[in-house]
Amino acid sequence: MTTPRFLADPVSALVVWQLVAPVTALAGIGLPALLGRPLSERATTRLVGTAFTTGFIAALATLAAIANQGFAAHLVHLGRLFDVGHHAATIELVADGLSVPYVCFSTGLCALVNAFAGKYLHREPGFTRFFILLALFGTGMNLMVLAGSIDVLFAGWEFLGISSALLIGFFHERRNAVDAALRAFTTYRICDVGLFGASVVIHRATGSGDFERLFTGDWPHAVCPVPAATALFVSLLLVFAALGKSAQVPFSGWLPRAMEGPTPSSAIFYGALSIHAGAYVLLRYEAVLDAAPAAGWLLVVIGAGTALHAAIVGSVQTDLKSMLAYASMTQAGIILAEIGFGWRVIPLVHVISHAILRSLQILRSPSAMHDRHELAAALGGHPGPSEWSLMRLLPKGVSRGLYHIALERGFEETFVSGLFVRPLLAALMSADALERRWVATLGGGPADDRPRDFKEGAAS
Amino acid sequence: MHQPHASLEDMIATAARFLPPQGPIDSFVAQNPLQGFEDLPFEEAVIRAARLYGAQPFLPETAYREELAKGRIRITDLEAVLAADLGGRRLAPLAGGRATLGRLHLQLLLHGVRMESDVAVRWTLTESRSIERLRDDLEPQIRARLLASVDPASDHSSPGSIAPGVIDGRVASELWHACVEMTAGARAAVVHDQPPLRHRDLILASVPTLDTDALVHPLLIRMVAAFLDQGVAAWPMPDRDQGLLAAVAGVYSGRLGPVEPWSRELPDRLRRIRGACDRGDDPRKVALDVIAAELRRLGVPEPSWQDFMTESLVALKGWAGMVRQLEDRPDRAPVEAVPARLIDFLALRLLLDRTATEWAAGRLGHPPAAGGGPTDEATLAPLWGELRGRHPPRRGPGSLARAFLLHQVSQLLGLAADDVRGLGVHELLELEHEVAAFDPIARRRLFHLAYERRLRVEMLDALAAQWSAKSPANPGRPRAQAVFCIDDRCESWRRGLEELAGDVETFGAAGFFAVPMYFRGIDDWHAVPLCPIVIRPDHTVIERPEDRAAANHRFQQSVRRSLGRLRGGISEGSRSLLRGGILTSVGGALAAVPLVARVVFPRLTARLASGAAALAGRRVPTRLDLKRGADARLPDGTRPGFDLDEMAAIVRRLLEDIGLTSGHARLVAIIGHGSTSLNNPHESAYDCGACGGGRGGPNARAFATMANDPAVRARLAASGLVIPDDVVFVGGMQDTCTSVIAWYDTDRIPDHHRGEFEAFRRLCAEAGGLDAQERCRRFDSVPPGVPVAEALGRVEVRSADLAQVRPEYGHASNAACIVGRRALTRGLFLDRRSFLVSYDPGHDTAGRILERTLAAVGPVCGGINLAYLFSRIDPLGYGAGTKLPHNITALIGVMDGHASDLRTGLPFQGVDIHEPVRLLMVVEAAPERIQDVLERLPVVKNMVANRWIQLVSWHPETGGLALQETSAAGGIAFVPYVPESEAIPVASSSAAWYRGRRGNVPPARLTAQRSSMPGQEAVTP
Repeated sequence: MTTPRFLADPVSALVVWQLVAPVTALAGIGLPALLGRPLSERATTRLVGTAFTTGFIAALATLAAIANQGFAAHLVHLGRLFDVGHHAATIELVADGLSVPYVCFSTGLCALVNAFAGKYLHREPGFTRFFILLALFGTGMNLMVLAGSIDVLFAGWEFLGISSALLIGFFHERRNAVDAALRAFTTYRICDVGLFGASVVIHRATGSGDFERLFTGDWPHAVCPVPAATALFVSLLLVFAALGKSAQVPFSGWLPRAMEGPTPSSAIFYGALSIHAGAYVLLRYEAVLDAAPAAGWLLVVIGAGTALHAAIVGSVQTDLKSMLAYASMTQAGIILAEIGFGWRVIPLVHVISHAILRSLQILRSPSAMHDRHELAAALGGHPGPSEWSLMRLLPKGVSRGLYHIALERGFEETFVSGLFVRPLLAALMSADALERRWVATLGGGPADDRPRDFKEGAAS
Repeated sequence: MHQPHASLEDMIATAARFLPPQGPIDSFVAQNPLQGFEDLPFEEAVIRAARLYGAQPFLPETAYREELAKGRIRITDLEAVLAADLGGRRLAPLAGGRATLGRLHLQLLLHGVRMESDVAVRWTLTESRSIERLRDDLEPQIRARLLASVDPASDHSSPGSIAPGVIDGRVASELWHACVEMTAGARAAVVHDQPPLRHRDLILASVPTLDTDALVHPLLIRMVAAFLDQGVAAWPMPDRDQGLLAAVAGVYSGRLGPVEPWSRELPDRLRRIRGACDRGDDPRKVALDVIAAELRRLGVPEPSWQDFMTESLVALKGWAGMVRQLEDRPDRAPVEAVPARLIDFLALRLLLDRTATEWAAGRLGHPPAAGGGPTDEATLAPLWGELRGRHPPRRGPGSLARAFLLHQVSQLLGLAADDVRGLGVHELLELEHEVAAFDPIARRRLFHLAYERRLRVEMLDALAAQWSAKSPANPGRPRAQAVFCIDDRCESWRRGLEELAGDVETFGAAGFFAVPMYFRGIDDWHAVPLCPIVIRPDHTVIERPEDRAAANHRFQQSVRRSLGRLRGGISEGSRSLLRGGILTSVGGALAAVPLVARVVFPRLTARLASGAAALAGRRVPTRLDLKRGADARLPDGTRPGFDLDEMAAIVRRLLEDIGLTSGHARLVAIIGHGSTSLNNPHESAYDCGACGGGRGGPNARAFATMANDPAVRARLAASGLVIPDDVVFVGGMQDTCTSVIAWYDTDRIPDHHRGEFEAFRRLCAEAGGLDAQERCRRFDSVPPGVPVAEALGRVEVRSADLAQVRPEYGHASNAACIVGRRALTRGLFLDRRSFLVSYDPGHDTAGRILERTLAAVGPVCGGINLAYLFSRIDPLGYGAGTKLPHNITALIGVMDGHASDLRTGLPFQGVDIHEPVRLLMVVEAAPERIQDVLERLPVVKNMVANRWIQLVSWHPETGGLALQETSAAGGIAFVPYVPESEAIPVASSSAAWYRGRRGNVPPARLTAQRSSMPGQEAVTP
């Protein structure tokens, strides 16, 4: 065991602060709430605001420091989970050309959302809960972004997932919100298998989850010296992991449904941060993707397909938030395709740029009537349908059919529930019936083999 | 066809009355959401409506009990409403004369009882000791009586050594045993409720996880939203011009049809409908055919069709209501009218319902008869009949539950164990029956009446005191007169003006100032109606640049158009595929500037934005195209502008209404109002109700222009209404969110009036500061007691902040409406809770003015009041719920999240401080006059007779107040009101009276008033 030396130099201290700050905020709001004496609204927003603002400043300082050193990776070793000689799992953070710009913008956005939500949620019954989730989200985000090993990254990824799902279900008295949260959570969990699998394979291949053992060189010029077959396997698992969080076909159905929470949470979580978490992980493992060109091409196909799907479906959406959800999905698809092409800096810039623009649009979405009237007044009339004038050239039957597909969101949900959900439910129900019979036989009680009607109606 | 289509259409029209009356959200008008029930007395209507909509009739009992604890409801109020409610039965003996019915009701109201099921009582018995203690809230003498009932002699130890808690416990336990003995053996009554009508409700009652609405609604919402969309989607629905049913049948009949198990049959069914449409059948007939056929297939017997259709429409009432609104008033569509028809919606809904029900029937083991094809077979009749037949009955309370209730009631009435044992069977049953009859709804009803009574007493006592202390009429000519809207939010501004200057008079008139028009402002792209929604205007007024500024205007317009194109291009491009990719990756980061600025520095950003706009070009001077030249008609059938006769009639009408036919000041300001806020889909809910959810500024400006026109004045003089030549009218608009008045056409004020106007403008600005300060006391996020300057800043930033969900409080806290001379209420602090309508009974010998005044203000103020009342009583059932998840849909309304019913009513953030009480409408007229006038106003009479409005007569000569009561025959009668207290609080100024208080503040008389308008003396000769 080496002694933790994470406070040995100022950059390490800055990096650690970016984790300590949101955790402190989380504890500062969470513990009093647990004891039944939640903080006042003002104290809550101050605490979270201070955490994210100082985190943001620390991130900027880190950026300056590592930019000064030519974006060389700066490792911060926090400790070791276990070490059995040839195999170790360490807790390690890394500040490099990918993580630091990313953490700057994610912490900055969290700080903005905190400022917005403090007023927006004034007198709302779930006020404290929202800020707890915000702090949890920020913790998970920073943990994932600053991770120096796949184990830490996985932990951050999971915090991100659970807090996103809970924010979608923020209004838990409404059925739609809870259904949407459950759907998002299920999708996340299914795709988590990819990340978990990748973690196992990487540990097996390199004896550790650390990025420094897997890659040589600094991002974006890292190379990965693992055998091609391992690279392909890991890449495919990582792509699978990214599909869920980045709402790619066929796992995109949760995103438009996720617009059930309060507006500020929609803004950052699904429009800006959560949806790009997949892209971040793929960027982090870009060197592995480079070693497996087939996975890259698969990513291009999926990304481009999602972008096309979302662009067409988005063009018929009649509510602001669904429209913006599909717009985000379109860009997320393009970003994944860019990563598939092997680009590195372009997708990073695209992620940050897109996230900022989309956050502004979602925060402003309740002004749509206002903006629409202003626009119409400036133009002297409402802007007619322009984008899809091309569609008018299609034969009527074809364009109707295409409209139908778009309005039904590409039948994606029908397809997924027909192919996966319903068979799974059927299997679970027969297992349930079997168990009942079995228990009844052993217990000697009356056999209660009435089928339990799971919420099949809602699943469709 | 058994049922001719005509009667089917009648039934649908009847059902439609139960849909929310709310139109598109960009012209939100607060209206009574229970319009369909206005033929019933209020108290009965709310209970029936609650059943239909699954909503709450009153506030929760706990809320009323909190008000009781706070003293907002007093015991005297409860006693008074109980006495009125029970009448002679109040003294009816109960429990063998040990109590009376009135006493029982009062005890139940004051203390409440818990009703539990047998299971819950059993749990209470085993797990808690609550039954072994007397209640904590017993009145001392009752507790003493109960404690005295225990026989000390039966105790082994001496009485003095027993701790009080032990006796207490013994009394409670003995009482409990007595109650158990008395109720033992009785079987729980079985109550057979009327089973529901809709298949969905029947299925859900039998299999709680099988909800066919959960299948149908998302699909139906997508279809209707796509059909009604006013421009959110880039790609509009094909064939929209043929109506909802035909368009949906076209899109959804494709071979690619949905493959959800439940909707497998749908494409075929829709294809048949599409075929009928393509054959050129009348679309109404196609829809009615579908409705009749589906009703039969669903197996609903014809006598139930009416209720079945009502419930089917109400199941998605927001969307159905919007379809109906756009059918009735296509001119109110925000962008373009679509051929909306409620019958299309109903036909589609029933078709989907039947399809889903058939699928559900299959899962319940009742597959519909094979075929199910085009025949009119009642395929689902057996299922419907069976489910209704075995609808589970509700069980009444069991013996333990009865004992538990009796135990509590006995304590409240002071009945000890022996008293209970001594009850005869009949007496016991009677007591239990009376307790059961006074159920939670009945208790909440009485609480509500008491809640309203306290406010009524407070207000009427203040008015009575005000009468006896009324000041002598001011002899001199006032320096200025200001006509505001009747809006409750104008009360503070008027009071402020009067406090600042004793020689300024104010008036209240419905804020469209008798100018009904479609108006297109210079910055608007189309004309919008500015008048009460019941009026369809016949005139269109367009604002145009002055000739000398035309070139400048054209230049500005072209700049604006380019900027608009750029903005539109960015916002649309960011959503598209290729342009979006480039735009978001290259330019997206630039959005960080407005993002940070808007969120962190909202006030600075708003100032910068308006500064930049001012820099880009001063607003060009404009004029209204008011005068009609030729007798032409515009393409939409309206007339451009008004002719002289019409203008004269408008001016006369308003001046007569407010009693300003003589004694004009040299300056008369006409001030409409509107509200500006950002990020607020409900922005127009804060605008002027009398302008149909629009802004009343243009009406004020039009009126002032007309009244200044010498030709109009000549015409008025000819008919006896003389406006002296030295009188100048000026129009303005008050922003109720920023507390600022903007003035119109100030360049046309003659030089000899300029000084007076400038002084008056400053005075109004000063009053605006007071208004802002008074409003700020209601905002939790503003510290109490902010100075005027800071208050103005606070309200300004609220209107410009993206994150602000309470830019202003609108009509929240409205409670009264006073129709009469301002002289009677001047100097009375009314806390922005009262609509103030100017009406001078002295000028109205025939009651004609009162008639037209009540015809307008009754429904408008009553509608606003009831919209707030119901949105507050049930924020989810009648209101729009919290704003946070609201999602603008189709530019016509908001949904919660991504797929919900359209949310109608007011958002909770707009009503959280509201006290839901019915409007107390005080009319300065003799009872006979009011009775006489109401006979000619069936709509208002109906609202009054059914007590949707509490009407009070204020006698113009004696000052006597009389409360309206409805006689058994439905006639209007008045009963003199006797004030409870003669005294009224006195304060030196408004600010001194409300300082340091957040909640509602009772009326008070304000003593200090400045004698004259400041800065005035130097100017007038």
